[in-house]
This record gives sequence, structure tokens and C-alpha cells, in this order.
Amino acid sequence: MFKRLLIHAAAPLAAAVCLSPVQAEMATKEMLTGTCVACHGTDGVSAGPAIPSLSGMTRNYFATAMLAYKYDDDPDGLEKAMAELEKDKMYEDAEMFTRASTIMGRIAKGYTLDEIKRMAEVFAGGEPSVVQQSFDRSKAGDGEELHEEYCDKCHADGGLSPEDDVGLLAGQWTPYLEFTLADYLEGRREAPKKMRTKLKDMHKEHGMAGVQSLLHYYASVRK
Amino acid sequence: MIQFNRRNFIKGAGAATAVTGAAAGLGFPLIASGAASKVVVVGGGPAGAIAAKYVKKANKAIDVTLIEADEHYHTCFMSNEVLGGEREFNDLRFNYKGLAKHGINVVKARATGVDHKKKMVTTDAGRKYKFDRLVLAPGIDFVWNKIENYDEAASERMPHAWKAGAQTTLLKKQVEAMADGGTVIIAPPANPFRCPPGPYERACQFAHYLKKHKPKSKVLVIDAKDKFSKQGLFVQGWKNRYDGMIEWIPGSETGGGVVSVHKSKMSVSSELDDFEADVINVIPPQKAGHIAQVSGCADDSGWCPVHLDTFESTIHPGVHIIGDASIATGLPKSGYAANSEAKVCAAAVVAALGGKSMGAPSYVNTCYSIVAPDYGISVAAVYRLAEDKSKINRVAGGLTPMDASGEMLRREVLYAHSWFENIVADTFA
Repeated sequence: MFKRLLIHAAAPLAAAVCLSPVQAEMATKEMLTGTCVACHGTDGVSAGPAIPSLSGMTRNYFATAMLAYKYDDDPDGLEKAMAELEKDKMYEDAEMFTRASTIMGRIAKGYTLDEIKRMAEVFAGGEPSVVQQSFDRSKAGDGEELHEEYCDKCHADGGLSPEDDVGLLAGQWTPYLEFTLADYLEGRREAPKKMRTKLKDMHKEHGMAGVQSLLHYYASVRK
Repeated sequence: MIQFNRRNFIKGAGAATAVTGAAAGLGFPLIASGAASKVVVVGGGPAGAIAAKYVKKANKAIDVTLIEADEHYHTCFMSNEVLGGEREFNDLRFNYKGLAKHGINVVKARATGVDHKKKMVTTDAGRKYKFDRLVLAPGIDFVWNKIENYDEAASERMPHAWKAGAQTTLLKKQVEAMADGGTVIIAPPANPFRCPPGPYERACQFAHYLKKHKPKSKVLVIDAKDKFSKQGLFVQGWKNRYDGMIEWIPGSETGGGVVSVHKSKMSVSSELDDFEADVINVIPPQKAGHIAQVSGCADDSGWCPVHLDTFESTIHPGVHIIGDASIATGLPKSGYAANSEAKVCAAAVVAALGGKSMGAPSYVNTCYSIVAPDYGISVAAVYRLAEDKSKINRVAGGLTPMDASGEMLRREVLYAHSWFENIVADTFA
């Protein structure tokens, strides 16, 4: 019964190719994201400062992050998966960047591209969350200037604007953003060329104090 | 699936009651007549609370009742940090006000029995709760006296602290009262038991406390087993941080671990040796919690056999068992697995009540252990149901690498603490 439904839903040709008995029944998107949110927060809104909120992430951002984790030991596999992803009109602008992790590389390998896309749909449908966290007002002021000089071009509204199709900055927890920026600066995470240059320039000019100021600014942004 | 269960029910109940069963409706006529379907959940831990919440989240029209004996729940996860002196006991405490806000009817009572024919749960308050689907999430009970002389009274002298609460505080006080140079014994049971890496994380947390306050003391782990969860990482962590303080004795060296305890002498015996200590933490063998036993949902093993795609009992159709009490072949008895099982179960319950398919199940386990305040390790895995539905297969996952950098080990602690914040919010908020 379910098998028949599936054939109706998918294009007949694709269905004929991919419908092995194992795939006859798929997990719903809510079933899939249910496995994420005990760590990442109910509905993808994190209550834990080291773990990012997923709610409001764009499809491209979420799916490419998951693929980067999934193929963190297999550059050829990543390239092929990206090519496959970009065939989907929803993902034609997706860009590939590698990232290291503690645990996500172990987890992402358990999901297919199709499942990752269904998870992406759920989180992209959520609002970006803006957590209330403490910050230093004067450092946040310095950070705002740095943000405008180096980051705002691609991360408008502190990275809250989905049209930019980039990572969320404002609203994410400071400890999580701190790890992320450290990973970019220390080469554990690949950045787009423009970002790499901007971040390097910012760091050269303002050092780790500049990074700290940015973190205080992002913690200060309200919707 | 539903068809199959109904046939099972008829077979089990006999022809005469089958007619009554069909008339009572097993859920469907209730929906047809417009009355809300009733889901009753027994047990408000990481499995039961999630099942109640996610049934309600999926379909607000379903009437959900959570029956829980205690006003507060104390999480087992992170309770070892309390023993290590790195976390306040009150940090483990949660109440059910959040669940009530979601429209769940929270009943403070102990479930005492299940009338499978009438589809009713009885409580110690003398009330009866009708259900179309019942979810049992009772956690564990201890098998007293399987270790000779180790009964509930003995656990006041030699705490298990394997359900967080007064036992956690008692064990902590005993270690605090111990003189420097003393010995703490941990006696972990054979598989299966709640939280497989827990005893070994506890060894770390004891050692962390002792290193700081009583550095001449020792931790002796007298195991029933010859290997354990995250073993390589733990042994490495013990050496890196607590060299010489923790000794682990595998079951094969003692003839299978502790077989009897002697309260007055503060000693334990294995088949081959006797061991004296100042503090003795016996983690006894376990079985599914009380309601699972009295409702006839457990088998000879003491645990509850279930269909792995729905967590519906293979003994009593219409009743689901989740969390540590179930035999979830392939999944560990962990808090995260309980959360994952509960979500699969909730989807199955909602689908069954609506007469729809739930789709394929998907399961995850993520489990952190804290070796030291800046040294965390983890195991994580994604699982899928085997094609013949006989087991839940790990399709990806693994452990913290043995050569992880100090920075990554430090981050794992912060991830562990955030994991805690998120899983308790998912469960109780």
C-alpha cells in the first residue's frame, strides 16, 4: 500500500531505479529530525550553549554541512554527493566546504542524501532563534563596527537574513560561535574565499580581541 | 500491523472475549464516534515523558495522560558528576509542570496494574484510566538477593546509586566521609543493564574527587564482565588523569565478579576472593520496572519483548514498552536511546490511532562520559531496522578517536553539558 503511494509521488523512472524493498518505506521528515533534536534542542532551538540551533538554517547551509560531515574522510565522495545535490533545483547554488567535528562526522554518515534533504526542509521551515545571553555592552559596540567592516556584506542583520543563504550568527550561542571561529582561523573548517580573506584581515588587524568583540556583538543582537 | 495485532489479541483472549474486544472497539469506533482517543503513559523519565509530549505534539486531539509516582524526576545522566563534586544534586531535578502546559494530564500516582481486556490502568489512589493505547516506560527495578545478601536494606549501607535520588546523595556523603587512603569499590553487573558506560565514568568521577581531596585513596572496579563500553578510551583516560588510582578487575579473574556482600564487615566476595573497602557501590542486576512485571509484559529474562518498529509488546497488543525496560535489540539502555525509542513509539501510536502508516523508524544514540572537567569522550550511532525487523542495526557511528587532541576532549565536555541542557528541555520543558 505504502509502496504504491511512493511510486505515485516519485517520477516513474526514478522510482523504477531506486525502489528496492529496503527503501519501500521511508522515514518521515519529523521522524528524521526527531533524532537530531535531543542534542540540538526541541524544534532545532538549542538550550545548550556549545550546540548550535538548527532552526532557521537555510536548506543549502544545512545540507552542505551534513554532507561535509558525512564525507569528512572522503573528498571524492563529497564531490560526487555535491554534484548529486546540485541536480536538485532547490540546491543549485549550494557550495562545498569541508569541516571537522567531534561527533557529527560519526552521525552524518548514517543518513542518505535524500534523508538529509528532508531534514533540511524541516529546519529551513523554522524561524531562526535568538537566544538571550549576556554580553559586554562596550565590546558589543566594538564588535558591531567590526561586523560592519568585515562581515555585514554577506551576513546582513547579523546573519539572520535567509536571503544571504549563509550561517546564522546573531542568535547562536557564544560558545558555539567561538568554536566555529576558532575552527576557521585554525584551518579545521573551510571558508569561502572571500570570507577567508576578510577573517584573516580582521584577525591580523584586531587579533583575538577582535574575535571576542564580534562574539559580544552577535550575543547582543535582538530580532 | 494493526490487523496483525488484532488477530493476536483474539487468539490470546479466546473467542468469547474476542467479541467483547471487537465491541469495545480497540480504538477505532471511538474515533468514528468523535470521542478523543486516549493514550496513557506510565512513567515520567526520558522515555515516558517524551512519548507523552510527542504524541501530543503530533496530534493535539489525542487525550494524553501521564501517570508518574513522583513529583520530581532526577536524571541518572550527569549524576556521576554530582559524585565527582562538579555538579549540584539539584541540577538533576525536574518536574512535570512543563508537560502539563502542553495539555498532558499529569497524574501523580503509582500505577499498580493493567486490565488488558478492559484496557484500563489502575493506580494506588484507586483510580482507573482507560486507554486506547498504553505506553509503559517504567525504567528499571533491581533484582535483589541475586547477589547474596544484597537487598534494599543492604543498599542503605552499600548504595547502588543507579536510580538518581537519595541514593546518589548517600553515596556522595560516604565518599566525603572516607579517610584519605581509603578504598572505594564499584561492582558493575553483567549485561544487560542501565547505562553501560556509567560504572566506568563513575570510577573517573570518584577518582577526580579523591585526587583533589584524598589523593592516597583508590578506586577498585570489580566487574562481572571481561569488557565494557568505551573501554579503550576509559582505560586511556584513567592512565592519563588518574594513573595508579583506578584498578579494574575483569570477571574472568574473580570467577564472575561480586556474588555476595557482607554489610557488617564492609566486604564483598567473588567466587575466588574477598575484598574489603571503606565505601562499596554495588550496582545490582536489573529487570524492567514494576508495572511491566505485574502487567505481564516482561518475559523470563525480566525485560519486555517488543516489535522493534513500534515498540508494541509482542505479548500484549496495544501496549508499548520503551526505554530501559524494553528489549530493543541493538540499542543500548541509554537516556538518548530512550528518547529515540519514545519518538518512534509516539509516531507508531499516533499512526495506529489514525489508521495510517508511520513510515520507517529511525533511531540514534549519543552518549557522553566525563573523564575529567576538561576531558570528555563519546559514542554515537545511527540505527536502522533490519529488513526482517529482528534487530536494530547500527549503520554508522563510533567513538571519540583514541588520538583526539586535548582541545577536542575539552570540547566534548562542553558538548556533553549542552547535550544535557537539550535533552532535559526536550523531555520536561
